[in-house]
Amino acid sequence: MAINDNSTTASAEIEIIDITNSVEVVNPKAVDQNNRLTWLEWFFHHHKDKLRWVHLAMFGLFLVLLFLPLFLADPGEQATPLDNFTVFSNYLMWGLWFPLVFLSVIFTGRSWCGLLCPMGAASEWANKRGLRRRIPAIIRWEGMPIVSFIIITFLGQTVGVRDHPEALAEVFGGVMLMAIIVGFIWGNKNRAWCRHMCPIGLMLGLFSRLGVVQFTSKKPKAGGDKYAENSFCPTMIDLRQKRESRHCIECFRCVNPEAKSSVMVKLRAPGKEVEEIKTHNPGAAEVWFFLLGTGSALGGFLWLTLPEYEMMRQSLGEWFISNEMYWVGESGPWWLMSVHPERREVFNWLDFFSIVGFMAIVTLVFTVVLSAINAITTYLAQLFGSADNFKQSFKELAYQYMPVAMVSLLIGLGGKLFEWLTILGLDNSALISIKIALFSFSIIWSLWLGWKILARQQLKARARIVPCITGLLGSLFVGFCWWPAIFGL
Amino acid sequence: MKIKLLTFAALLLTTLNVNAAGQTQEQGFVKYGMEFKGMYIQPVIMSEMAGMDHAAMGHEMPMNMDDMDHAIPEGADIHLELRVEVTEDNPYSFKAGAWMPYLKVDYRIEKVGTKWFTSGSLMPMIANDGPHYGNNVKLNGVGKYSIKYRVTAPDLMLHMDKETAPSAWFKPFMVSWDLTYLGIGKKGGY
Repeated sequence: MAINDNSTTASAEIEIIDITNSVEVVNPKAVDQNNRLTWLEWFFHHHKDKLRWVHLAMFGLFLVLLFLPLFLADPGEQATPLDNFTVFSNYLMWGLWFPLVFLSVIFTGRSWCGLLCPMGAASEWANKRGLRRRIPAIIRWEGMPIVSFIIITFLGQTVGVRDHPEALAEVFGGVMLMAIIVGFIWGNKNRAWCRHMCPIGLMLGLFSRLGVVQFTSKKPKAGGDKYAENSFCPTMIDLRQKRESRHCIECFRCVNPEAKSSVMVKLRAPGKEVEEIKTHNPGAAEVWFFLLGTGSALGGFLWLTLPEYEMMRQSLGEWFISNEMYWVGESGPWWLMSVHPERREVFNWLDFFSIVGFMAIVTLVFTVVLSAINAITTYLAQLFGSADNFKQSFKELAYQYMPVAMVSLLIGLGGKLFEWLTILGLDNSALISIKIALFSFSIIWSLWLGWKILARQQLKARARIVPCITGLLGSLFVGFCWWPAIFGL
Repeated sequence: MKIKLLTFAALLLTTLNVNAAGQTQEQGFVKYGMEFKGMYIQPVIMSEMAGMDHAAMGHEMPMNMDDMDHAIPEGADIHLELRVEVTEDNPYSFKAGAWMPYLKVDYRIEKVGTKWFTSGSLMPMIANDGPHYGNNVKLNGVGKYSIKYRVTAPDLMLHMDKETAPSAWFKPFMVSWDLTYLGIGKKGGY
C-alpha cells in the first residue's frame, strides 16, 4: 500500500536539523526538581484517554459557534449576547476566547493548543488517517508562521472578522479546513500544522516564553533545542534537549510521573525564560515574527481608530477618480472583502487597497522604528562590552519588548474583556486607570528584562544603564503606538 | 418639471460656492447670522416619520430601534446632512451655536461630467451629536458630485411691525458643495 511505503521512506530519511547556535552543558544529575507540579502530571497522565472527548466537545462547540449564526436572521440593533445567538457567538469569540487564550499563556503556557484547540486536534486526527508524506521544506521554513499570521490578520480586517458571522465562519472555518488538509497530507503521527503553519500558534508560543509553566526533561541532554521530525512529540521537539517553551503545546503526552526519563512540569518565575533567552534558543525568525506580527496587529487596530486612515482613503480615491479608474468603486469577491449593504458596510477595491496599504505601512513603520531603536541599544551594548556579537545581541535584546507588546495587544484587541469590570461598578475612568496601571507594569517588566538580558551579555551594572534607557525608549514607542487603545484618542 | 428646473436655474445665479473635499466641509459658509456646513456620513437608520416615535422615546431606551418598524435605507449610499448653527451676532436673538429650526432644505445632486442628477429634501432630525437636516440618498456610483442645498427661511410666523420685526430675514438662497464619493466603506468608519 502506498501509505505504508510513504511512512517507511519517511522514517528512513529522517534528518535532524540543528536550529541552535548556543551550546550549554547540563549536568543530568543536578536536575532541579523544585517547584515540580507532580499532582498535575498525575492528573493528566491518568486522564490521557479522556482528552479526545474534550477535543470532540470543543470541535462540536466550534462548529455550532461558527456556523449556526449563518442560518439565523440578522440581530437587531439592540441585541445583546444574552438574547441573540449571533451576538453571543461573536462575544464568546472576541470578548472571551481571543483575550483569554492570549492571556492564558502567561499562566498556563500554550495549554489552549494541546488541551482545547479543536483545529489542532482535527489536524492530528486527519494525520492518523492520512498520507503521512514527509513535511516539505517550504512548510518547515521558519518564516511560514509569519506569512500565515500576516495573511490571517490582513484578511480578518478586509472581511470584517470581528463584525460579521460570515467572516468569522470563513476565517476560522478556513483555518480548520487548512489544518485538516495539512494534517492529512504531511507529517508522521504529529501536528505539522501546529508547529509550522498555525496563524496564532507562534504568537502564543512566543509569549508563552514569559509564562510560569515549564515542561522540562528529567534527563536533559546538552546541546540546546532541536527539531526532531521523528520525535514522540507532536510538535517535533527533541524532548531531552528541550529548553525553550515556544513550540510546546502541552499535550502532556511526554509526561509520565512514574517514568525515570520523560518530561516533568514545573513552575518558574514569570519572564525567567526571556531573562535567560541566551540559552533558550533565540531565533532571528522569531524576532522577525515578533516585529512584523505585533506590527500588523497594530495596523489592524489603527486603521479603525486613526482619522489618518480616512484621509488616506479619500486622497487615494480622489486620485483614482481623477484618473477615471472607476473600477475601484466595484466590490470584490465575498471571501476577500466585506460586502454587507444590509448592514450598511460595503467594501470596494479602494477600501481593500486602503486597508491593506495602511496596515502594511503601519507594520513596516513599527518594524523599522523598533528595529532601529533596538539596533541603537545593541550598538551601545557592544560599546559597553557585550560578550555577544552584534547579531546575537540584537536578537536577545529584542525579546525585552515582549511584556509591553503583549499588554498593548491585550488592551488594544481584547478590550472587550475589560468591559466585564463594569459589572463591579467601575466606570470608564476607572477602566482607563486599570489599563494605565497594567501598561506601566509592562513597561517596568520590559525594562527589567532588558537589564537581565544585558547582564547575561556580561555587561557590568553601570554599563547596562545607557542601553537600558534606549530599551525603555523602545517600550515607550510601543506604548505610543497603542496610545488610542490605552488612553483613548 | 420644466418650471422646477427653471427655478433651479434662476437660483443658480445666487449660488454661493463653498468648496471642500471629503466628507465634511472643513469651513462652513456664514450668511444671515447662520453657519452652514455640508456633510455626509454612511446611510443611517431613521425613524419612519417625526412624531411617530414619541412612544418609543418614552421607553427607558431613548431610541429603541427594535421597537419601531424602522426602515433600513434601501440602496442608500450616503446620509446627506446640512448642519446649521446660529452665529454669535445673529439678528434673531438665538443663543450662539444653537441649531436653526424650521428651515426648509432641498437638495439637488449632480454627478460631475454626466447628466445624472437626483433631488429631494432634507428633514429635521436629531442624532447623538445634535439636530440637523438630513436624509439618506442614493447616488450613482463612485465619482465626483456637486451638491446644491436650497435653504428657505424658517416656516414661522413673523413679527411684521417696525418695532419688533427681525432684521435681515432672508430670501431663499443656495449653498453648494463638491465632493468625491468613494463608496460606503466600513460601518461607523466615518
